[in-house]
Amino acid sequence: MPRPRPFWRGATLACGLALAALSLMALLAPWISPDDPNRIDVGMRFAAPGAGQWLGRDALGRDLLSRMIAGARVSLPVGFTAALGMTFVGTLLGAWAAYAGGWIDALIMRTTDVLLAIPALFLILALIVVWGPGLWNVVLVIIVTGWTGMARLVRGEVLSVKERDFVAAARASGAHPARVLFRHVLPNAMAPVYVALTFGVADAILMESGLSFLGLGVQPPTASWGSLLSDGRDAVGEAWWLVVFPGLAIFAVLLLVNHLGEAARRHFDPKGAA
Amino acid sequence: MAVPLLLGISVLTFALVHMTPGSPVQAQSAMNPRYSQQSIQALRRLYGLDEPLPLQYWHWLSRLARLDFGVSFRDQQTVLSKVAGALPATLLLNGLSLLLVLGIGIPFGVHAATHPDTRFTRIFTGFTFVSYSFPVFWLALLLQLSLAVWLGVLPVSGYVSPVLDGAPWWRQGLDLLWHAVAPLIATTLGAWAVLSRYVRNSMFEALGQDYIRTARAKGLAERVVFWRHALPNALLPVITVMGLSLPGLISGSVIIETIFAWPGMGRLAWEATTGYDYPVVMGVSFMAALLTVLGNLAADLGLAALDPRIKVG
Repeated sequence: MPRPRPFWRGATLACGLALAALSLMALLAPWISPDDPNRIDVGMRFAAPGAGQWLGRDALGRDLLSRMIAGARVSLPVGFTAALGMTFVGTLLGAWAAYAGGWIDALIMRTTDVLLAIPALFLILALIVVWGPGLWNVVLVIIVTGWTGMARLVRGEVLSVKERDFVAAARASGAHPARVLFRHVLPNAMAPVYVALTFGVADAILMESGLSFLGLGVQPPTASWGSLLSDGRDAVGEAWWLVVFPGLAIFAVLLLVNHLGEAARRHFDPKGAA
Repeated sequence: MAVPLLLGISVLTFALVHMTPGSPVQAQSAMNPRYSQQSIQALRRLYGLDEPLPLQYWHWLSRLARLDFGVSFRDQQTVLSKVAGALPATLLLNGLSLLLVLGIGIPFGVHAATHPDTRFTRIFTGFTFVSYSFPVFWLALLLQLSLAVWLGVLPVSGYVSPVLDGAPWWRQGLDLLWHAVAPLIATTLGAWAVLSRYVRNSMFEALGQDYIRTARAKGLAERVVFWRHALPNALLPVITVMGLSLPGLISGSVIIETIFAWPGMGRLAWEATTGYDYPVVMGVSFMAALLTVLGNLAADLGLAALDPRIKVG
């Protein structure tokens, strides 16, 4: 049997390293930031990119590069937390539905039907008007609306793995159902979940920046890449850099994450790679 | 399928209403300065929150059936009339965008499937991947920046030019289309990449089927094989995909309409959310869900009509 090719190589390795570098930048923000991200300097209003402000300044004279580094401390953790959260909830409920069957299965699956039928952003707006805007509510809202796809995926996988011989063997040897599920079934059903988790990170980052862009995510003066873009929108006639750079940051991170997702898909399922 | 789904949606929106301030669940929000005592009273009256739960749900359901969502907090207009006023703009934008997505996406996808390993297909694959990562709100802003601010060829935002009040209808129609160009580009660009990629895979698969080999073996012209045998079978699943992509399309209109000041349902929902106009948010969300369910129903029926293997029922 040929040895499997290592996952981290070539372009995939480069993407992983770039994401790690960005995360490190977010972690070290207070030490590497060229300026205080919230320091207002009205005299430098809309200063163009150049020495002293490499990416320019906003309507209040705040340094865009510093605000983008600060924004990474919001956008990246929110994306990862929300994606992990919806994977956790989706995996648990999907596995439970497949394993329990009967009315529990029906209840969980009909719930996903209903949640998937409502256009996600409208559902999110309805939840935000109830819970109020804010960072952690955004994470919560992304999890509540995002777990459904994962639950369906896991349910399908668990249903097929459940019928395999080694599961029957485990059950026959008297293992507790929970042990069978967590030790034998789930680990063998997880490969597509890792793939979906990666794409989930991209979706969550996109959703957070979209909501912050609409003014429903982080509240000022905190910066996230989405809220910076929304500042840019207000100044679209005066300062192109406020529109271009924050969007570029979101786009670049989505490209990196989606590339990792594609690589994971090819890695776990070489046949179905399209 | 559609009826239980709508019942489920009614339960969900009912639960949401119950989490709004003024409801028994959120009694503590009485201390929250964000909500005036007056609006809480109005909410209690509107949703009948003092009645027993089953009765409340029954009232909610009967009001949903009549599409009665109460009146807006902001201007006392009924929610239904606000939604009805916003619906045409949203349908126009999404309808045109759907046509463009199909009109551009299908030929591109089919061409990529029939011409693998060409430079066109490599560029196509790269482009679809990149556009998948392109945030639609950034794209919209870049369009505003380049077309409206730098080149000045298109209006920055809006729906109609106020100076044209009383102009002939065709002049106003052209003006409307003119305003729709930038939002259309923004909604179409992301969606067509997803669709054409799907068409490519579907067509690629169809071309590898046994019946294609049979058709070729019995000496049919390649043209007939392509148009009569491969294409119809490849496009059938696309109908389902269109139905499934409907929620995403309608979701996207929240962002696009807000950016371009397009007076549709998405913009209405956003304005209502930032203004804590509960009846409007609930009404618009329910209507968006209703549209989606109807769209999916239409896709299913269309598929059943076109595919003799599927029976309705």
